[in-house]
Amino acid sequence: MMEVTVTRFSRRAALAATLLSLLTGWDTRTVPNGADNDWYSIHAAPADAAAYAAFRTSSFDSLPGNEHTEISHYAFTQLGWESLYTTPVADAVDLNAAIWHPEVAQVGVPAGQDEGDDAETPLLERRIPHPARFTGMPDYSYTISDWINRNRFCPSLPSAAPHQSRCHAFAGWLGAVLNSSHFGDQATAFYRHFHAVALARAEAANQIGAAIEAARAGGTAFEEAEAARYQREAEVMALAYEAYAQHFLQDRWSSGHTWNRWNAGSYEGLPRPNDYVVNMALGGITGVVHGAEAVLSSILPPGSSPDPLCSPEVTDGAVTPIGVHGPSTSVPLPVVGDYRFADGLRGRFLGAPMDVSGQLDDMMRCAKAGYADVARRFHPNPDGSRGAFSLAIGGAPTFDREVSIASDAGGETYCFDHWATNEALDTGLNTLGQGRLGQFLAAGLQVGALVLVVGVESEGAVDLLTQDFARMALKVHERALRAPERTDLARGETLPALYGVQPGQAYVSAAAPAYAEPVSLSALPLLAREGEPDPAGMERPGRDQRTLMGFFNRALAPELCERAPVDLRFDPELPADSPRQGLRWPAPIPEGALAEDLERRRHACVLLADRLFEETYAWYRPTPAPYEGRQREQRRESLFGGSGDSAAPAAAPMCQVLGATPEEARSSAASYWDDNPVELHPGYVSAESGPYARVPISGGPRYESLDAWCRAVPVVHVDDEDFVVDASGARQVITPGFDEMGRVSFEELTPWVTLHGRNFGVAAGRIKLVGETGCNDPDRTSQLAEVASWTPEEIAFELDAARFPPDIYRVEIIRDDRGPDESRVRSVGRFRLDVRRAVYTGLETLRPPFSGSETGQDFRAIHPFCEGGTVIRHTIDDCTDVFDGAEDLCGADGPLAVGTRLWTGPTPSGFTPGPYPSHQYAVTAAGRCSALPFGEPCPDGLPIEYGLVWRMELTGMPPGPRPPRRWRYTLAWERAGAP
Amino acid sequence: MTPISRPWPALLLCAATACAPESVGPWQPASQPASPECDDRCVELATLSGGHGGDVTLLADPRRDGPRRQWQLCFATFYACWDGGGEVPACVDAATCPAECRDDFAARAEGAADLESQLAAYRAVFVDTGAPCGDPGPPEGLPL
Repeated sequence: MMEVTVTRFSRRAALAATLLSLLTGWDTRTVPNGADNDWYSIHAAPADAAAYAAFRTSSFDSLPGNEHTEISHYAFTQLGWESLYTTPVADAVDLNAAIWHPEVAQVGVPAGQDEGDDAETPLLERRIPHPARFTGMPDYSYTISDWINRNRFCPSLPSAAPHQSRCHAFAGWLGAVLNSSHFGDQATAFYRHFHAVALARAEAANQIGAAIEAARAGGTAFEEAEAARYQREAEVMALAYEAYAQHFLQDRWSSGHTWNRWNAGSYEGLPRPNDYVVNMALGGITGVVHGAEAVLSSILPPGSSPDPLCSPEVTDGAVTPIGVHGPSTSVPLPVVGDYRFADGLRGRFLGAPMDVSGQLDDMMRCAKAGYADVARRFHPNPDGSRGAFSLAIGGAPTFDREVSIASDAGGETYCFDHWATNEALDTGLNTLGQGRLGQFLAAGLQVGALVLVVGVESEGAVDLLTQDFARMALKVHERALRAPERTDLARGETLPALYGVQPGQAYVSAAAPAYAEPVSLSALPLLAREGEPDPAGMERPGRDQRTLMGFFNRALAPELCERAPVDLRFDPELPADSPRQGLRWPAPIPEGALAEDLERRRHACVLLADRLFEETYAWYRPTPAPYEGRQREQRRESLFGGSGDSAAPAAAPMCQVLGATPEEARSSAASYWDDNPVELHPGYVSAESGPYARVPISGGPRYESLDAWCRAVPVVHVDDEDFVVDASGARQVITPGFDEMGRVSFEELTPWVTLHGRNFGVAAGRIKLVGETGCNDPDRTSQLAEVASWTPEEIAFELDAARFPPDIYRVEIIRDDRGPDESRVRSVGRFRLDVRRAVYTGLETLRPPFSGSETGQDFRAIHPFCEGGTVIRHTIDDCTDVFDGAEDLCGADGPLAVGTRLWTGPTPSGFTPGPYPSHQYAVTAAGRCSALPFGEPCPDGLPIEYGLVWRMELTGMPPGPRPPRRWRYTLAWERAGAP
Repeated sequence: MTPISRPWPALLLCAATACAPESVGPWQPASQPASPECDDRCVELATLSGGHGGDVTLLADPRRDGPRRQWQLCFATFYACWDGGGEVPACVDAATCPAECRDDFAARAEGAADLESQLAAYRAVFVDTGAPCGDPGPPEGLPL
């Protein structure tokens, strides 16, 4: 038996390396305390500007070792893209977490951290990380969509896959099983795919830039600063995808990844998809080859246990990087990998010289080519730079020939064709820190059979050392001895299968993995919800358009603008709280609706509607036209961080600037989306606050009128003076007691009024009429009209002139349903009802004997009257002997009028022969009640009454019976200011 | 090393009769049947709990002294020697393997001077499917 001497300490380290086999590629620093928060790792890196400064000054000692991100910072530094560090990018208001995947908002951030959220708002505000930070993402999230969803879902696995709880665990599906995509040919394929995604996003950013320039050239006034935010976010999104893609490009240059590890990079490609533990074991063995520096350094001091392939071999103080061969190398190119990036930049490791400059130069040329080609798609600036960040591209490398050869004036680099030599791969397999694999295995077996147990609750166990393993180890060592500088092992040509699983080149597919975002956004399902049947059979919750357009809602503003007629409109066919439901509130609001849900929808709705709003518009008129009245609002430039006020210059909204205003939002459209926020009904402008008032909304103040629109408060169609109009668009003038010809008609004393509008709801509510002159005092009489009928777009009510005398009335619609504050939903706009004039009348029978004295008796009639009104008619008619059924014609106007006009006022007249021969009468006073010579106070002592007094005097005692007499007295008056 | 008590996964369970001592080829039978649990005699060699990596544990089960462990030790001791620069025949000779296996190899490798031939002989005795001293396979129930 061979003697193997290992200390307990080093044996533990070596065995840990065998087990844990972290396969990160260049290192990614993740947040501590578990995979639940791993998505937050993107924010874990130090300040971006500090990284830029470190690279600019070659202060490599200050690099914390978040290598993927640092390599991207280095590329940006070399490209001279300083503006990426000095130009602010506005935070995102994550509509995805608010509406479409609200579960995401429930995923917290690590204790003591924050992501920029404003706790005062119902939506989730999130910082948009610097593009470089997306480079490390594949080590903790599957895709950018997955990260946006805070790893809440599992996009890599179908629901039937085992061990779903290990989806994002690095020692689980994410790393040990599926990160074959970070190695060899699969890394190349992944880079190509996501680089294509980045280029597509760059083209979309270009279109935003072009639209902005076209608007500018066309003389459209708009807010330049706001437009720049959209363009910048679109460019950041493109660069973020390129950074994500570059993870695989960078990994392809990490020495530990310059070979085809076993297995597929996506669940669909796995030859043994249900053998979780076997797949884990493959990851473990891969980790041995790759190098176990991460684990060793968690036990030993950093640098004390360098482990190839990623680290160099260290022998007697001499440092020997492993070698790779590419198509243009005659001798192996020395390379390093995980944890050694900064050492490579410094040219030293463990105090010894280490020259990997060839590797770093080539890798950086490839990295810069990828980024620069993305920037080349951005909109060109007059100075030749590109996009909103004015990124310089002159002289930068390019993949212009094909996405594998990066070239610039200094030469060209084959970016994906370098492979570990057979000798290097053998070194990677057999070197564990300062020890050898065979020794450690033998030593461990002295203790007992080695059993790898996987999972929190012992999900399974395997023996690592098997016949397959032996075959593989023998072949690797044999090839290293027989052809040390060839690369057939790394390419997978001679590397044996392990546990029936081939090296990775066997699983390279032209198709992207099922979890990846496609090149075209429209190829994604609109919304893929957890637990809902997926028509495409993909079963990938969160892999959808909504996730991306919810987070990058400025970058994808054109799509959101065009979708507005669906996204904003409430769909009665869907449940009110469905994530597929439109953002605008329903009318009525269903009972039991959650206030929190409504609030989130309101804020999201206002944020999007604000991008559409152009001006108040009377689209309901026969000839639609801008509303020009007192409540007029027109989109203005932001002032003080808000959404404009009346003093600011007019500004087109972003959807218009981007050329993405939905056609159906124009009243000229054949299928018009009426009641939309582009041509805003003036009834949403608050009468109380006035035009241009703003309300606090997530992401900044917005027009209060849009808030009202999103709450779908009732609005009434009005003219430019805010008077309600009829179905034909004509102002409604209410004249109780007058017919259409303007003649007094007692059949029209209580006319019906019909209000036309929107959002009235289905159940009858209330109509409140408040006189502008205060004529109808609520302390004295109800201001609520008698509703006759109520539909969502029409309300009819009776206008009782006794309660609503001539005046201009402010109409308030009070719906039957209640909002989240438990109060009934009410209109906010300025809707005026012109009760211009009214007739008041009464028939009175005078029956003798009068109890009066010889000097006569006063009679009085009292009608409503308002301050400032003008009496236009005052009459007394004798209707005695008018036949039944014709009494309404007595005292009225027109050819059918009957009766005898006794007096026409308003001026009092002298005595006239009265109803009996022995009588005479006179109207002795007309006017305000309080001024009349009554012997008692006016009714209720209120000032609005208008009175009439007439006196009857007995001049003799005629013989015989004295029949009763019927008199009608009539008052008509019109409101102050009536035309 | 910390003795621990840990329930075995279901895959490792076997009835006492099914795990009864049984010889496989040149390998000696296990001295005791497999226990349904890896009790406190198991030794935890390395663990990563929680954190980024989740839970992965390597245990050494001293009770497992059956054919699989013997073959593993046979291979590992050979491999450690060969990887350390030894010649294949010498390393087979030094490995912790049954005498008849070493003899079988010696017979097959006799006269083989080149590495390819020596390895072919090694594979034929210790690695290939059906090899007389090949991997006897895992205890019943283990996938590998």
